[in-house]
Amino acid sequence: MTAPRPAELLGVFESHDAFLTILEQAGSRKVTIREIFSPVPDHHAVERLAGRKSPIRYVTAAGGIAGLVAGIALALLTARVWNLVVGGKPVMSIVPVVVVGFELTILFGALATLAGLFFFGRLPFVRFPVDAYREEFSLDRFGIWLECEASQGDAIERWLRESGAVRVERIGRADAAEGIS
Amino acid sequence: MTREERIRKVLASGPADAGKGFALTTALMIALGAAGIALGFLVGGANAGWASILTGLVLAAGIGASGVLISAIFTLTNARFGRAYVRIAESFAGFMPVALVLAIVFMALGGTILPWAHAAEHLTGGKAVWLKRGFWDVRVGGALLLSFGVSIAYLYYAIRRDWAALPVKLRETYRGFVRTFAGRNLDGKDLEIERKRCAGRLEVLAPIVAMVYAITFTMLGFDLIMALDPLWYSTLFGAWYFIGNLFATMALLAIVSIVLHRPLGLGVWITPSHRSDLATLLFAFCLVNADFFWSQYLTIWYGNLPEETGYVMKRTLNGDLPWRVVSWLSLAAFLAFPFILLLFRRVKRSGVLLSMVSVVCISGIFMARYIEIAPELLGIAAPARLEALYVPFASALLTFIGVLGVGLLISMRVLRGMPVMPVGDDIFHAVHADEGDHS
Repeated sequence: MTAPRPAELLGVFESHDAFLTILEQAGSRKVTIREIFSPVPDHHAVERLAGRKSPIRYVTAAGGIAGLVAGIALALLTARVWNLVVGGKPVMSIVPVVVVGFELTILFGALATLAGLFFFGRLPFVRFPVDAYREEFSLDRFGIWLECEASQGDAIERWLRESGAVRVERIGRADAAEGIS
Repeated sequence: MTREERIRKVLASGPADAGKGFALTTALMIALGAAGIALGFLVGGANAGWASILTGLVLAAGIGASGVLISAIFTLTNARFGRAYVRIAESFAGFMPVALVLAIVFMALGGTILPWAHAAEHLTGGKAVWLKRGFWDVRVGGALLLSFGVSIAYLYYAIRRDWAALPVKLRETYRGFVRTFAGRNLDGKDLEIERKRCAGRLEVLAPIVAMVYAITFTMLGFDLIMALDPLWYSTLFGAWYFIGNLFATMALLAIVSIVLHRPLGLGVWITPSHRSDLATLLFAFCLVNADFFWSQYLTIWYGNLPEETGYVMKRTLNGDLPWRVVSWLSLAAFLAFPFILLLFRRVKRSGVLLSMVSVVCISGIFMARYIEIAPELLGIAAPARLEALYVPFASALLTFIGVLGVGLLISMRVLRGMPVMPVGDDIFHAVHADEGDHS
């Protein structure tokens, strides 16, 4: 027996405060925020979502460590293969390779961060507009696209409406285009 | 919120008052500083006392000039988060009179202990000409006056711009020398034109402040610190000195804005997000400071010239001398600890943790300056144990605490005479308008 498909709801908000309230309360309910829509860049919304830690930091750390190892290895092995003697110092010395290690730490860390940003940010956004996008989100409305268990659908819908949503839609159903409010 | 409403909100709590707790703390710090100087001269000997005073002087001068420089950097870069911090940074001009007094005292009474003053016959090349007392006095005094003068000119326009933005009634709440200095002759003028004129002057002065700072503090680094060992030289030393000042001042800015957050009424304007931005900048300066350190060390290490390596070996490797403990502690404090700790978001957003890291950073820079100055002045001969350093080091540390106490006391007097946020700054208003005034 297959599990029922999760319910997907789109809340449309006129009030920015109501929209932010939903973002704040979403963490205490069994919902997953799939996407939010805003007509302008919204730092307050981002701050409220920031409670969920981004996995990009692990990618950055991995890139940085890989860069450090690669930089030190590159400098040490090059000096060894070519027997580079400078200032009478040992060929395999730590002091000069720190610089190369540091530079590649930054380079690899930055490139890994960029790659992580693209991957986790799902960029480039080739499938836009997504199912839940409405033109009004580029004008004067805010939207939040939620996913929850099918059995929770009605309760979440009620919560959205009571919190100030001017319209609630079910995404992926025949009645989506019309809305149910 | 309109521009005027925001100005009223900044001024709502009246002139910034750091409070009685702050006054008591600084009084204690000043008492410790006096005890430190007495300890140095009476127990450690005259040279220990002068080493403490010289260390205090180079740090006070650096913090005084760097505070204004940080404000100039924020102006140059149009830094949005930095607007919340510019006024506190500018108030660190309060360290300038401390540095001037220490410089006068040192030049008048302590100049005789300068090692090169007794070694003119051993100086080669142009050093015999460069290191002459009269010429040295003119250079040191001139560099301090030039740097502080340009900084004061910048401060004048920064504060006057804000006075010009204040309604007359609100201006009346402020008294004292800062108002007399920057708020004079405003009556009867078109305030908006005056505000824009001052803002224009700041745009011109900001790069000048930065360039003058770099040049004068390079010279001060050479003359006040590097020349103590007249046979040693490093062309990077000046840059290493002035970048360390900026790093220490950034750390002090973090501490003051955290510790005095409530008494100064910064709650609305400096949020954990701003704190995190400042901590990130502190982390960046930690790296830049380490970069200058390593660039200098790497060159000496590779060159392997006896006249250069002796300076480093004496401070880091010679087990018969007590200096290496301070050197390694300093490296850990200005590089290793802040580098690791400031990677964590929790540290950057927490007032307690960030102020603790900042204290470590300042301690690291203090020890770096001490380890550059003291070995040449104290003349501790090998073999010597760490115990030989207890009294001189305690004296220098206490003196530095005293310098911080006096400097902060004057800084808060300066801050009391002007709005705690740059209310005449367009970017300050733009930032808060964009953020909706409720962050």
